Amino acid sequence: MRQAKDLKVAVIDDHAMVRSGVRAELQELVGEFRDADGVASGIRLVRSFEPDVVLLDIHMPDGGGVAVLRECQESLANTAFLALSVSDAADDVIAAVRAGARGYVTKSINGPELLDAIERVANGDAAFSPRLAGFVLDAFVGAPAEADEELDRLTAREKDVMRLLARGYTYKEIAAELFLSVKTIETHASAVLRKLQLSNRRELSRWASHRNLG
Amino acid sequence: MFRRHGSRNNDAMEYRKAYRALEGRKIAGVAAGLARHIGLDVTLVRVLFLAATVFGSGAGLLAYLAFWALLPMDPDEAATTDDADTIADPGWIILIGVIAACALLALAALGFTSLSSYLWPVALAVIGVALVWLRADELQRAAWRADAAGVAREAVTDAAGYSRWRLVVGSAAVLLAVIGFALSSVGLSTMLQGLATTLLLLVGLGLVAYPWLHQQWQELADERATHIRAEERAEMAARIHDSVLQTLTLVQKHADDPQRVLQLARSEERELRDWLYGAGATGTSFTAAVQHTAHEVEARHGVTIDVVSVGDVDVDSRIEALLAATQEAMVNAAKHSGVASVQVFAEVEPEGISVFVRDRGRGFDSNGIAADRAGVRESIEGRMKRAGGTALVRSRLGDGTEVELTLPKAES
Repeated sequence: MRQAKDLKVAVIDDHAMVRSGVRAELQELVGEFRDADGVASGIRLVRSFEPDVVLLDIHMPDGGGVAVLRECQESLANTAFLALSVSDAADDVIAAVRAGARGYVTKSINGPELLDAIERVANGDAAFSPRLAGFVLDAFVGAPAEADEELDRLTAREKDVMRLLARGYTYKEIAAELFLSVKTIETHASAVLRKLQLSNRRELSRWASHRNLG
Repeated sequence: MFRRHGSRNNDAMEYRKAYRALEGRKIAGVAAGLARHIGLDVTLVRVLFLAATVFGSGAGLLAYLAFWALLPMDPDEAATTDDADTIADPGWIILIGVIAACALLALAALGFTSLSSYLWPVALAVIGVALVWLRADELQRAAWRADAAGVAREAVTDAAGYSRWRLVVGSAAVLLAVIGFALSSVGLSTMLQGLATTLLLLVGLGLVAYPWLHQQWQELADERATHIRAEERAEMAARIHDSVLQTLTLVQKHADDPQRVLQLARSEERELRDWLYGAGATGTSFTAAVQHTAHEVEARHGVTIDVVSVGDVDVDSRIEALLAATQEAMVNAAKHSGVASVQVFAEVEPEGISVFVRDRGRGFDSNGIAADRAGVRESIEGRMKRAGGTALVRSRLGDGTEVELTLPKAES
């Protein structure tokens, strides 16, 4: 389990105050820290710095976070992208996840929770904010249009995990609540993330298409 | 159009359009406008038109009508000139008519041209056309003035009843002229046949063109609606900008009161976020009500309440009880937990509604019967029970509190 202090972390955001704020919070706690201020410089940074985790702002000029994700598809195996935004709108969140982000946090997140989310995605898991969990539940409500496609429905356990995440529980608390191990909870969350990324559910495509992802 | 080196202060090529003049016009401003544009004397232009009409078998008149139809009025000029200066001068029209008639008679007497029986229908038609087009001009100018004053166009043009008689008389004149023309050239029965054929043609054409016409009409209406929406949005944007400015000013003023600053920032953030990314939750929906309640509690108690919701439903009396219980739970968390952040999750499912209000505060021993808490709990539990639902309060000392409210779907 990789710890924050071993990680190379990058921030890509066009707001200088956000970059300096995150730097102040994280610089001492992670291994290496770099930042970039736009899409083009962000892509260059990812390719040269090869960070473990990238905090990626969604709303930037020239295509925003989604453009960076699309250009860095080949880095996705070794770099985990954590989408960062002010907006909380379904379009933005879902678009980012479907483009390859492993999680989504709002800019008002506090230091310890941010660190936890960074460690989580660095270790291959998904970082779910309560709002993202809410969107997931919204998108997977009801039976899917096509016949039984595994990607298009959540299992009962996965729904339980999402509900508890939406209620604000941490993974540890969920594990205690459901009498499972934290590892199992992480597995469920990762499975849901994968479904979010690959499912053809109408709501997901609609939200993604609002951002011209299709 | 015409190009001219700038006679004003710049050296750049000026690209001027020709307009019909509003100031100094006698009938429609064609002569005055052209004179202004080309740089000739206005009387000379008028004489030219007249001569072309009399000596060119009506070519001057045709040209005048063509210019009237094709040249626009200058909207800027229309907005600034007063009506009194520009009303078409009837005396002038009569004068031109008399001159033209005399000239024609004189030429006919001299044998240079022959008076035809087409003369009076043509004259009638011209008068009718002039009346109708003048009215159209006036309506246009009234509309522009209304725009400039920020008033709705309909209000101005309808209220003045802009000489509707002119429309009626003018159209009647043109119709009479056409009938007269037809009668004098082909006779009554042929004219009636012609009329019938024309009507048939129009009906046929109408049937064919109807879908296209309808679509154009629809597109026009849609564009209008989009335009109105865009204007409304711009107005709202202006309001929001103003509100943000106010908040930022207040924040600077109260910079040494962190609690106040937090509240100001939070409230403005919420307003701006709603406007920028707001979901379409309507006024009567449960989700909107939960958010509204959360905002009120936030403002009054200085805490942050995050609401995550799934699904939606319209509010009825039972759901109102649920909302009241939710509000109580939020207020309790704000007052007793000792922390500044509350998490709310509301899920609307076919089977019923569940609301969870969670805080990570000091909690309490929910198994014990603490006197001051029992009353509070009973209030929430009592409300839910009366509405046909349940309330479950789970808490552990030092470990936070979660209130779970469930309202099953009503038995029908």
